[in-house]
Amino acid sequence: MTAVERGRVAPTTTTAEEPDGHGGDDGSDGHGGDDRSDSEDGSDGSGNVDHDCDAPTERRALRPFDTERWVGITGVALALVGGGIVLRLPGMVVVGAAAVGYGLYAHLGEAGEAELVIDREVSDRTPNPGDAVTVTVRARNVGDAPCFDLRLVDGVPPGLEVVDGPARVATALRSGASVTFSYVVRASRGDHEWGTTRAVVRNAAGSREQLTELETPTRLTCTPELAAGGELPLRGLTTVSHGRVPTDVGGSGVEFYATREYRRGDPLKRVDWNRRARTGELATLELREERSATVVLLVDAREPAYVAARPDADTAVEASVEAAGAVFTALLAGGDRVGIAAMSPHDCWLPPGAGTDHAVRARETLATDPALAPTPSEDRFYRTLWRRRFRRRLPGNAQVLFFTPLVDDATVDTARRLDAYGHLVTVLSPDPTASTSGTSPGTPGRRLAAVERRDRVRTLRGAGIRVVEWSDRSFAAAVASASGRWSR
Amino acid sequence: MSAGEAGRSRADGNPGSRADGDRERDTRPPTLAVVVSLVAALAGTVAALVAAPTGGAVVGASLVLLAGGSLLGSARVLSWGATTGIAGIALAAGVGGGAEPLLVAGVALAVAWDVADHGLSLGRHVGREGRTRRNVTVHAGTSLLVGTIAGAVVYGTYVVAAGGQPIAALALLCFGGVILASAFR
Amino acid sequence: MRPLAVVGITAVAVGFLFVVDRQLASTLDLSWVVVTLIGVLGVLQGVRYASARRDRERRSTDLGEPERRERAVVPGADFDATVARAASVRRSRRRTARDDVRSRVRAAAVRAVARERACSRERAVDLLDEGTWTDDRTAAAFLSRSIGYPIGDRIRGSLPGRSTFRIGVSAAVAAVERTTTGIGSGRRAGEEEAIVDDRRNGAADGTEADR
Repeated sequence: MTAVERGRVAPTTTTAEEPDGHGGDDGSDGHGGDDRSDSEDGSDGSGNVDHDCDAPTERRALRPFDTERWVGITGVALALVGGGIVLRLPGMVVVGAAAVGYGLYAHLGEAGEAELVIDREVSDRTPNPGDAVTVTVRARNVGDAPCFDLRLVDGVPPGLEVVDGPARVATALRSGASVTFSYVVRASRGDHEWGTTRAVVRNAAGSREQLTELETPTRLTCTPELAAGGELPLRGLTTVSHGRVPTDVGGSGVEFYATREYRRGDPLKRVDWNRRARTGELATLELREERSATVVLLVDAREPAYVAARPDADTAVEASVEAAGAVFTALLAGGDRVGIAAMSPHDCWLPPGAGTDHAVRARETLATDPALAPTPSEDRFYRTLWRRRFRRRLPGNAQVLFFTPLVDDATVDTARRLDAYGHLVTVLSPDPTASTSGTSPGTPGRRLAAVERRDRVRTLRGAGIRVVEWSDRSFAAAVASASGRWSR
Repeated sequence: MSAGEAGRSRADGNPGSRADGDRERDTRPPTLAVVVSLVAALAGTVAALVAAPTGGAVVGASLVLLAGGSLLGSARVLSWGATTGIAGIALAAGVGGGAEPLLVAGVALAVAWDVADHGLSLGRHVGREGRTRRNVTVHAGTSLLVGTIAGAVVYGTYVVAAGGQPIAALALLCFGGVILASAFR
Repeated sequence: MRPLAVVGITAVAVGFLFVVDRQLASTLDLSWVVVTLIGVLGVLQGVRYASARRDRERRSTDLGEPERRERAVVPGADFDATVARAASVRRSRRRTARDDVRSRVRAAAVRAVARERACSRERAVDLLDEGTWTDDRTAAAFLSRSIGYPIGDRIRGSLPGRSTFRIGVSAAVAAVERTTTGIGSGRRAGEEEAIVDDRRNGAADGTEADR
């Protein structure tokens, strides 16, 4: 919570946690004390202090409904009274009449909207992946009516997992009172935004219930460091295929390789004139073209790519992004120009470049670009439109490293088309079908998906496109063994 | 989070230590709700026993059902527990139990059922690990208050009208009750 | 306020009055029979209202599980869902689901057989129809239009909770899997990479690579 946001908390909140004997039970006094000091600081420091009605929490109440808890109570009362009259038992009549009281109670009161102001505080707004971040939520009743029965569930972002404590609390709030609860979340890559906090309010008897949706924007951004990819043996991946006629290009990027005997037809530029001057022989220089490559890392981030071997494991998109980060570092260190793109409903394009600024931009793109979000987007993906746009942007001599789990034929089609357009394509595929347990082979669907994927890999290889597969965390090992196999 | 939960040191941030998937929320009713419900049911059983032993036994059976309903998370079992309790009270009244202990038993049973059912709903919405103490306390208190007031009013009327009640009064009360019930059903 | 409620409240109020003040009550003379009848009416209505509880479903807000990270899809989950739909009660749904399942397994089998036997797709389709592509009779029966399931499968399939269709699906998928795995995937990858490099070099030399 920035100072400005804290300042929006009205100064009257200092009276929120009155020691009335209830506070101690919940331990909320401890938190309440902290918040009191927080809000006091805020109201002193900042000039613009809004009142309760201008609080930043957006509210949306749904229709109240009957929970039908107390159905039958009046019937019970009636039966008891009637029975007591018929059998002349005063005891029964008395109990029945008391039950009427409960019947009336059940019809008293309405659930009411939860007129709350939510303040959410995150212990670290820019954590590292895997860090435990404490989220503290404070809800204040700014309405005139008390909430007899209030249950709150915080809108934890879908990409984050709560590791300690439910993000929920149940309490009863007078007008002006507040409740604080906190929970711990494990940070993971991405730009996470908190969704709606849901407040369920019931009347005192619990016979009526109403849901109110509250929104307080809070953001947590986790930008992992690009994996140190220095050890990745990537020369095999990006060297231009040999056999190309060496161009007569001089200057940087071209290095002396060897001399050989002069043959008729060798360009005069290539003749070693120094030797001719010394010994009178004609010899030709052989130069190895060490021009830096232009590489684009393309990450498949369409909805079908968000698959994993287990429902709670990291998705293939996470694996792809992590691998892409390592490859990016390695290629940049090797002097190549590297860019990033995503196959996604959202547009993501970082043109190939070099330098530390470029590395910083790449790190941000891989961490927080909406196209590479940790959870799939709901927008539609238009393959042809995307392909056309990508093809327009792709530099003519660029190679493409395509990170995709190969879960459908569209990726095979894309890879082959890019290859046909003249770009050297290498597919790096995290394997989501690798069986986690050795004993059970899996359901028919899993096995069929594995078969289909293997077939796609074979199709790509048969078309002359290299495929590197890996599963779980063995990306570096897979690249190493693949580079070893590939001839130069 | 309650003080007890703050003492837990799960927030140590090592990602590989446990599988994230097996952290299912505990949706059982909060302990306080179950305890309050059972204490109230016990009080009801004792009061019913004082009124008439047979009725008291049946109310004791309802205690078992209420406990079972809380454990199993079934509102249906709780309803059956309440019904058994009412039958027990009716039985106790039938064999000639006094009005006072029966009234106490009735209110205690109502509180017991109400808090147990409330606990079930809290378990589903918040869970056993969330903080719910204040909510349960307020709810139990309100329920007890309503029962006490209703009981006091009724008992007061009963004491005032000791002896043979006028037939017309009874008839009108009952008739009015039927009408009211159908109006507010 | 509703008229019924007004009547009820009036009656109850007057009743209370009569309880408190006996003199007033004696003005109204009712026989016990009438009172008993009213009492019985009360009991009957009461029991009726109370038993309405049995049919009423409780309603409450479903708050979901925001604490959990969004669950990832497991590959093949849609296929398993379709297989589950193939056991549906509705006939049309059952039939379309079965067709979908069969066509998908068939497509995978055709590709696998064509690759394995190095033959054309048409030949692979023929092999599937003949059932000679695999040793497993159940798998062959699942993908062939002419072959029937062996007796053992039919008996197992008729047991409650099982179906020949599911047995066929499992067997067919397993058979396709066996067809594709072949000797050993590790060596295969090496062989495939060699093919890739040959093609790359061939293309670079200017010869037409048959991609």
